[in-house]
Amino acid sequence: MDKVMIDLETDLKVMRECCRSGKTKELSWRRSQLKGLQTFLKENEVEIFRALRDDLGKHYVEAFRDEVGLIKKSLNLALKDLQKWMSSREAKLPIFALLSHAELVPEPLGLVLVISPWNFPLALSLEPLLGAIAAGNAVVLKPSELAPACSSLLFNTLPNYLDNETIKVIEGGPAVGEQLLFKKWDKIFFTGSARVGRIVMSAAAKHLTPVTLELGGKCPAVLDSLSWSWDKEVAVNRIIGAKYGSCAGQACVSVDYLLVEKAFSSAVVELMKVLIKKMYGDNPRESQSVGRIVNKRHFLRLKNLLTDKMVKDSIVYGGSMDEDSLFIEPTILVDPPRESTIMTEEIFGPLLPIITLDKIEDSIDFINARPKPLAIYAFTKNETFRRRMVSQTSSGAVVFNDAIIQYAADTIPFGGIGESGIGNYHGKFSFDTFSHYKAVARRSFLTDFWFRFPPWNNYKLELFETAYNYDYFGMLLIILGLKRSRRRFDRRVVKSVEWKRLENLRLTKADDSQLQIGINNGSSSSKYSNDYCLLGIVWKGKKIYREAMIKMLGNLWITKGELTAKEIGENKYFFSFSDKEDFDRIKAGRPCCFDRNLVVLKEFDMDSMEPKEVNFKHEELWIHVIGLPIKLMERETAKVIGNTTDWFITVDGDGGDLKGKYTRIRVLIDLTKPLKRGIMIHMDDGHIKWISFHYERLAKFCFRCGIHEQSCNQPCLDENGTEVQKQYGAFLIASQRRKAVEIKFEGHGQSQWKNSDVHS
Amino acid sequence: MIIVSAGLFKDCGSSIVGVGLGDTLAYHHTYKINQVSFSSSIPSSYYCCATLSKTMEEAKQTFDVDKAAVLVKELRKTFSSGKTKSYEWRMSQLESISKMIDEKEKEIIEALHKDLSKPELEAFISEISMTKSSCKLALKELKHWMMPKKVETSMATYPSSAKIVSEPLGVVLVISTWNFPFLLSLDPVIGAIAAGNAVVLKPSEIAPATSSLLARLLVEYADESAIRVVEGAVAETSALLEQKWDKIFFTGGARVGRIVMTAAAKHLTPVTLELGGKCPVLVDSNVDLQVTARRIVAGKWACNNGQACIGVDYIITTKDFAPQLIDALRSVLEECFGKDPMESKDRSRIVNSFHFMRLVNLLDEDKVSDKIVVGGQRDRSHLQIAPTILLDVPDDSRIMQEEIFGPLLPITTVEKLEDAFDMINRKPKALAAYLFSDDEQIERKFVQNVSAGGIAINDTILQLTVPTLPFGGVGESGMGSYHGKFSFDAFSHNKAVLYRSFAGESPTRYPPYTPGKQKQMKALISGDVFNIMLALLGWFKD
Repeated sequence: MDKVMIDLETDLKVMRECCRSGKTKELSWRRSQLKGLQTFLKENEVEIFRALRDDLGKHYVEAFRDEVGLIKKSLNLALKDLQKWMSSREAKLPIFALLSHAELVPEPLGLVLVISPWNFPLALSLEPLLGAIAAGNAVVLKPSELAPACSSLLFNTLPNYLDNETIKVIEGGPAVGEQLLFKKWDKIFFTGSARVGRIVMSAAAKHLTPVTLELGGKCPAVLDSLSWSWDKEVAVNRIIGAKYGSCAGQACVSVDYLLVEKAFSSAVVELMKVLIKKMYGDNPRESQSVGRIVNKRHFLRLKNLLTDKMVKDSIVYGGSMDEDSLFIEPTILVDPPRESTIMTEEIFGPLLPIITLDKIEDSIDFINARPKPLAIYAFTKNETFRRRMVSQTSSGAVVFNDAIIQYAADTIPFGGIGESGIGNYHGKFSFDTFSHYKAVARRSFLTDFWFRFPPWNNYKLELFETAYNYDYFGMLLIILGLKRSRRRFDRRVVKSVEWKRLENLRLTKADDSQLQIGINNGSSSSKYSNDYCLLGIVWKGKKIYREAMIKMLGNLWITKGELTAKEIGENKYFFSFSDKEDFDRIKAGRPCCFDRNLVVLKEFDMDSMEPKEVNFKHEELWIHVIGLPIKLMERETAKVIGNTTDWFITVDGDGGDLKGKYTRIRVLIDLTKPLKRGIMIHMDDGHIKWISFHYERLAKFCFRCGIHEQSCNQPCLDENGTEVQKQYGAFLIASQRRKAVEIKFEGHGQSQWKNSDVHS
Repeated sequence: MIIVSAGLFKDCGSSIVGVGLGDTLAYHHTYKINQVSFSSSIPSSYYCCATLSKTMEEAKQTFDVDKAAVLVKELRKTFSSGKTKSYEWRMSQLESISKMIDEKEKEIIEALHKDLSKPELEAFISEISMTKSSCKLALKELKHWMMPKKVETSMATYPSSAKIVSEPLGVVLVISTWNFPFLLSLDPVIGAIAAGNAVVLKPSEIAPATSSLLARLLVEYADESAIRVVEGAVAETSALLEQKWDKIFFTGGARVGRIVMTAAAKHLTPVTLELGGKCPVLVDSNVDLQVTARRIVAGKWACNNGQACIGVDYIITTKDFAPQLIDALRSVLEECFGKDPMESKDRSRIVNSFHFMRLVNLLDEDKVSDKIVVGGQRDRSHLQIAPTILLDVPDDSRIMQEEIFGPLLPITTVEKLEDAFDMINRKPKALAAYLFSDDEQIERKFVQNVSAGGIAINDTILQLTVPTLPFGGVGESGMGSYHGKFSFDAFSHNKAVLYRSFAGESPTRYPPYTPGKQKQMKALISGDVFNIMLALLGWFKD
């Protein structure tokens, strides 16, 4: 044994080397191996039939139907479609991967282990083997020792037809199996029982090896009360074939038990008796058409299933056994106790319990109360019942009006779920089981989307968002600068987090939520000097992010001297400046916006004023007066026009400076009244001209009534009480004028505003 | 040894904050000192990227096996009621999650910032919008995905029709990790919901803010009878793993992956394991240097500061080309993160001091520390390490053996680029492999010879963003895949449904067996209609 294992160790090393060399990946290698399998089947048909007869007493027609023929069919398919399977599959790509190309490339997993069972020792060895070969793997096959003739046939003869460097057959019992499981594989394909399946999967976990487990389960057959006698006969024939016909019921897909309606059951039993006789004759033992039980242990296991008196009493047909020839007669039981072993364990033999139900629909609950089977066979013509059967039960497969035949279909996956297994195979699915689909994406160096790389800003964010939404047109607009960034969040969000944290800390030390923003820290010890103070209110109904705003303003204002901020009420703040220059500059720089909400700033005299006295209804804004004839672009005209609003303050520029695209005037505006969109001017020559107003840094306002958001009481109604149509729009927002902003960004190094333009 | 991290708490002066391996930022007000033994002799597998780290105390263990069992029972009840299977339920849950992402964007970004100092734009790109788009895709395609697939049937089962029906697996467990705590939690959950399962999500305790946010948000937005979040560390996870699930989806390190799979084997539960690995980048000398450098930087430092399972781990290039590449990388780094990268807010931080120390240890190894060509600065209090490039690190050093999972980038040089293939293949299979080259020959060889979960040519990370490509590893880097339709498939069982009528019955199938029947069968299996006719007439010759 040890020697075998040492040999194995070196063998495996060689196999791995072969894998790495890429030999098995070649189409020619795969083809030649599959052809080798074909020749093996052709040249050894007689030996195979003999081995199957020796191991399991299978009739050669049955052997051909269930094993040799099926493998031949699968080989034909694999050889025909191999090239198609091996070719890579194109995948669609999103836009920002322009000039790229993506595909799925199947690649072999490497070195795989196939462990096969004894009930179909040839089919269940070769079916996965051919899948593994088709996928380009090196394979070790361990056939079951319980079918010794087949095992030795595979061990002795199969290597003559295959590449021995990469495909090995290893014979042996559980000890060898265990040794094999210790090794590192790239895939383990196991067919057998759930108990061993667990062992296999645990062993595989050690090396993170993927597994396919083909287990069994109690596959139910459901027989609806069919009215036509032809249908009845066909259905019962198929059930009998699937129970007794395939290796004497020793198949993972064979019918385990039968569910019928109570009223229908006696008719079914009678029909079965007749049809069993027709197939197997009066003396089934003499007929060559019933397989044998594989060995004594299983024979005894089956015998034990019937020892229970209650179970024994339920036998209505058959029941005879012959231990010497390991023969069990096709047996029918009606309503054995549901908790008896025969109804809780997989039977795996020619015993068929029939369970009677009041209504055939109850079968769904009956099935769902048990572990998920590998297959459900339902014989019915009732369309609703069929649909329910598919959607309300869970199993590896559902077959209507037939049984076992799904094993022969290449286009549907064969495999279990839950207790009946993991993974699937057959046809193309076999290839997939032994392949890894490698995702391959290709790019050229030509296109590169700059927005994929830091430093991050909102522009890039917007691009990403449109790209992920496949909004190609939107992306184009953004790139061309035609679409404004809608997104509002930026560093402020995160800043606020830091801020909050810091603030929390301070709170534990001091009981004062006063926040100091000392930028040019000269003397941070002083309290706010009362010389230059501003009172600010954020023109917004909801409470705003205090920390974020204060921090933002701190960043925006970049004072030379010290700036202190204090919250004095909801959305109300008190700012004091130590430096007059700062104070004036901020005052002149109004209006100030935060998150497109107007922050109304008012001068405040600490000695004489109470915050409540301050009227926040007005704010100074810059207006662009557009459409004035050049001749009229004068200080006087500006003043006249400005006074049509609440209060004219000043006009930007003087003399010749005034003549340009527009006249820029500063006015005081009542925030509770609608914005003025423009004004009519009677010209000297008699005709009337419309002069429009655009507002700089306009905060959120109502598009219906033109009032600043907070003051607008929705819904907007006119005098008659009807809702106003949309009268205003974003066209009232003036394009940004850099000149007007007197705040310098550069020179202080504190600003983190370089990438952000949202505060306009 | 006590790891002391003052960080933001510097100002407090008096308090010392001990950092356990699991509890990073959860100590705002409760200061506790944990003793952490920490030595470099910990076996290498311990250092896997996203582990269920060991918490030192299990003081208040509230979620135990019994609770877990009750939880699973409840969910199973919901599942068997069939509620989660309906198209409407799936759609409503997905819509709700999509709404949640829209409405809670700010909170999510804050949580990510708390956990990883993730720059908000990066958080938006790599987590929020990825999750959102995967949710949107599911919403858009769900009907299509759920549709049974009709397949043709062959002569062997004639006459018949067949289809493949996707059915939900049942009650599934999603265990996610800390490096992309939002995306890697919700992306699988979206798949699980789309497929009609009941889900339990266990987010990583190493990203506590996101974990608790997810717990809070999903209660608010999702159907609590079928979608649950269990917060916790090792004890809670073990309790969960004891239960029988119908699928376990795990993202994290290979070490824990093994534990998960072993636990799953007990109940024959299928698993999807999304692990990591050392993802190599191969750089040819004929590339567009600027673009290459940028894309490498994007795949390393702009991707959660190197703490990503598909992030760039190391570079292989030719000896002559290495200096040029380093120069290019250096200038791109400056472009992206400024002159002083330690000050840059555009990079995430290292998740906790355990991982910080791990990275520092990698860097301080004898044979390694003198190979640094760019960066190397570190700041323990802010858990930051500057983008660091190392040249020609010996292959047996730990940094070349373990997954780095941090802002360190070793460059290995070879004489000929082809030598690199073998070098890559000798290491365990990675989750991703990258190649930069203008040579189609090399490209073809690379795709053919290098085995990895996914491959991107002339770019990094790209393959992850493509919903039409499966995302998943092979070998040491995991099993199973997801994203897009593949997520749906990962949480679905493809049930084969075969319809036969009672017509078309042939006695060939049944005993008594005769040689004539064998001939007919042979003809049937050959699939040739003409042969079948011959056989039925008794004229078919084998």
